[in-house]
Amino acid sequence: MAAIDAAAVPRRAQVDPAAVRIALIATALSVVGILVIVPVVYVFYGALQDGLRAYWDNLVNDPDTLSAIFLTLRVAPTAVALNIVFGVAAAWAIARFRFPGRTLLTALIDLPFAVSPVVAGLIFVLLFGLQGWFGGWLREHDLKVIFATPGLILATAFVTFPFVARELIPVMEAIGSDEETAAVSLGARGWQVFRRISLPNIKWGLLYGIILCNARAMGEFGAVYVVSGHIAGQTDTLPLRVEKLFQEYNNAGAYAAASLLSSLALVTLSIKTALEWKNRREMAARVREATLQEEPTAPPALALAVSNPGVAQPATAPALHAQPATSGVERHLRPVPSLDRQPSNRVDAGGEADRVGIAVQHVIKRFGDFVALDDVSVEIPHGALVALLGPSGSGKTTLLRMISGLDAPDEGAILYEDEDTTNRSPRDRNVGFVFQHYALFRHMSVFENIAFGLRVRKWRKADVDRRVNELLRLIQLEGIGHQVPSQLSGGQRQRVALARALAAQPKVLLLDEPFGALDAKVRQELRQWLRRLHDEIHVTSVFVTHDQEEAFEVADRVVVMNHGRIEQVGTPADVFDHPANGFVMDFLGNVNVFHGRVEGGRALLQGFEVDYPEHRGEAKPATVYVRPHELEIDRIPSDRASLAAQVVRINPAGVAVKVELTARDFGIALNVVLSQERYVELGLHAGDAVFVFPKRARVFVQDYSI
Amino acid sequence: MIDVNRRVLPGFGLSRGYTMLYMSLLVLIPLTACFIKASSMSFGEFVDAVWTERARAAYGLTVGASLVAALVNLPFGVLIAWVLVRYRFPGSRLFDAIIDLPFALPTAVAGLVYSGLYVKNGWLGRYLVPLGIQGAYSRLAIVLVLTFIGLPFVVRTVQPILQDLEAEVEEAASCLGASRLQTFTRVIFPTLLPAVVTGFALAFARGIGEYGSVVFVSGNMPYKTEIAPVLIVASLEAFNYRQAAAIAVVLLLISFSMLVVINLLERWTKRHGSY
Repeated sequence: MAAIDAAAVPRRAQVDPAAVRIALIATALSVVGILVIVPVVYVFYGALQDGLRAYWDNLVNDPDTLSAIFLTLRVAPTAVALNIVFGVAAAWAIARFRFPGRTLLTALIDLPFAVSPVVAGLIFVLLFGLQGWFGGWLREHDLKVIFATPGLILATAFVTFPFVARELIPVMEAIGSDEETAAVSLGARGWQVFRRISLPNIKWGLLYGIILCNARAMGEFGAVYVVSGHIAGQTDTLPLRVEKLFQEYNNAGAYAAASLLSSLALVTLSIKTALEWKNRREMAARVREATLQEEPTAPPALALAVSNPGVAQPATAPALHAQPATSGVERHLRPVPSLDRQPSNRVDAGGEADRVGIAVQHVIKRFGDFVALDDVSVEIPHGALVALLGPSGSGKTTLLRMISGLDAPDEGAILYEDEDTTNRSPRDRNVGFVFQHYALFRHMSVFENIAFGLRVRKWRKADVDRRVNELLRLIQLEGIGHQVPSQLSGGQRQRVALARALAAQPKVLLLDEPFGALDAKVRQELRQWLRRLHDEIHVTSVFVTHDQEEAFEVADRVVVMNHGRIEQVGTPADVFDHPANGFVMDFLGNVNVFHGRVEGGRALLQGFEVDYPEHRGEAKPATVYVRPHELEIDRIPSDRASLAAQVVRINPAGVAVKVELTARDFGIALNVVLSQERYVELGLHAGDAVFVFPKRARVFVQDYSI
Repeated sequence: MIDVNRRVLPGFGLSRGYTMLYMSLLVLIPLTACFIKASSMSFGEFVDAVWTERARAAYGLTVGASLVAALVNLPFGVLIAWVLVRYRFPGSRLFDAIIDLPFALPTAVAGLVYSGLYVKNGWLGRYLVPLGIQGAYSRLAIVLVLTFIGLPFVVRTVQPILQDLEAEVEEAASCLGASRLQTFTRVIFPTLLPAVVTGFALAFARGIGEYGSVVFVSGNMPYKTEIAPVLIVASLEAFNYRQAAAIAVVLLLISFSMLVVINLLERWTKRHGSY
């Protein structure tokens, strides 16, 4: 539990001496005491020094003070209401979108902080006063703005408009747009996204902004002073009333009115503090839960079972739909599939390989000058499970987002089973998207998370319940539907995200680095689980990964990407055994690279040569790739193709032995993988001089045109 | 990355459109009106209106008192932030909450109380006035009340930076042989500096615009304790709208430049606050 304590109290190795500490605290308390506490106490002292009776008389039996109270209660809430709408709109625009002028707009929101309130009042007098731009028109129509309630509202709204926006923008930026994007991918439309996802997440920030805005609105002095005209009983707000009583030397009355305003300030601060403490407690609880859940034993043994409703149905039927027969009794546990799973399962999902599930046609996407996708075309077979594999920045996630409809291509088209969906929203495409960091709705239970896509599509309640329970069974989390995401382990969150994406029976399932955020053991289990799941539900699926092992283990087909282009498409065996080019070769596992040239049916390299009958013409530069297990080590040179090298280091731990060597004459480092038997047979030691030759090599002739 | 979200998340047009419309109606058009009103004067008239002896005294007092108040808040603000972040003592969380009172307390109340406290027979005035310290109806009074108004700014900008300062940094300094004081002056304070300066600028800007509390405590004596916003009100009450607009333009220009400075400072703080 050390982690919890550390989170609650920051660790400070250095502690100031007690004397210093006490002196500093005493100074700080005296400063705040004299500047803040004494004045506040004095307000109530001044108000109550003649007794409660006099206090009551000064407030309620003074008709002008009473009407000032009511005027303030009319003006401030109206201004606040205007500013709430503005604040929410401004925060949404600024925290969720990038657009020209955004920085300027953000800075302009701070303007009332810098503008003197008197100037704020003045500008409205200049517009709406008798001599103002609209003064004549207003008088003709017998309307009054200045020296009347509308002017007070305008001036108050001006001075207080930053508060709600200022509170919301950092809150919304901190929360991020992942959950909202997930809601869109699940089919929520405009207002639904805001009401169901954003609003619950920002409600405390919003509440605080409103309270602060209200406190300032009720207390505003300078701006309303200028526009009010000081008509007693009509345009004096409470702060103005305080000033008038003060000018009339009615101190008791002034303090009584001021005590009301001070109480408001104290209530505001109390609510603010309570909200902050509540937040802190929630954060601490979240940290505690996260600490507990990250225990290695937390993920349940999910290698157990997948309920099996879809298997007996025609592939065209919506997978996973409700079926009374799929009761707990009939569920059977399937063992973890062995590694020699039927290969036919992987290549084409049930003989439908000819049907195209998704077609990407000549898609181009630029972000400024950066070309993320450069004329990409690829076809994903119906019902297949396909991996987009590539290094970071290769465009694989961008391509996935294009397919989902979360991003739009600059050029090109995306077809779902011959239907052009390029301009359709994710909702209309009916996709399920699993986000890299899951983007679970933190304020909703597991059940509600999964139900979200159904609720926004207005499913009947009974259907929603049935469907969600079915999915909870599928992901083996039946008991925890009521928990919130922060209580789940990483693997559980991942499965909830998957169930949520599958809930509305999507035509296409898309997964962005689905196992990226998990630790190695859970990742391994989930991979196998996902593969089995797909074998049962046959929904056309695409996932992004940078881990070639993951791609090979899970996918029917692999799409290798680099620099916004597709380098190769094929089955895992295809791309591994017959890489289309040097990049694919290099990217899929360790490789030794040799540079040289091809000439007359041979590849001549540093120190050795291999046959290359494909090229019999004139000399061309070439690169040769040899995998570590395709290099052989021997004590004596073979007749023609061996390279003298020295053993640098040996790592015998593992199924195979890894040997690092250098070929001094050519300054190249080599990696070789030997079987344990061969290693023992050779009796290798670091420093040994040996000969290395390739059992198999792949030659890529360099093309001058590039 | 101009429109990363524009397509996916709804409501871009509506939210931006409404934001711009509201700000135009409430802020930009009225401010423009002020500038247009002032520009109806010739340059000579403008200078005559804004550069009278009385106005010069008011500008000097406004800027001077705000500056002194912000300077006073600088060490106090850092001290309070330090105490809040580093020490736990009975009532420390209440103390933390009280710091925000000047934000929440209406300025008229602050003015009323400060004038009451520092007059001859007030709680504090009865000890200070015999010493010759006039804490009400004087320039000192303006500084005092502006110090109150500006107190939270330095504290609240420094506090989060101090909070995020890693303990390891101080530990590293002490392992390298620095004394506690050296650690503060050479390691901690330079890290806090951008936030300190930002807080100072915020408090200063707030002081320049402040009106409500000052009119209570200053006495509003021309040439002596009259601040610039009071001049605007005086011009308005004399129905001299053009002069009011002209002085407002001067104050607005000061405000705008402060806003620019604060924005630059905040960027500096952000850059410095993280790696």
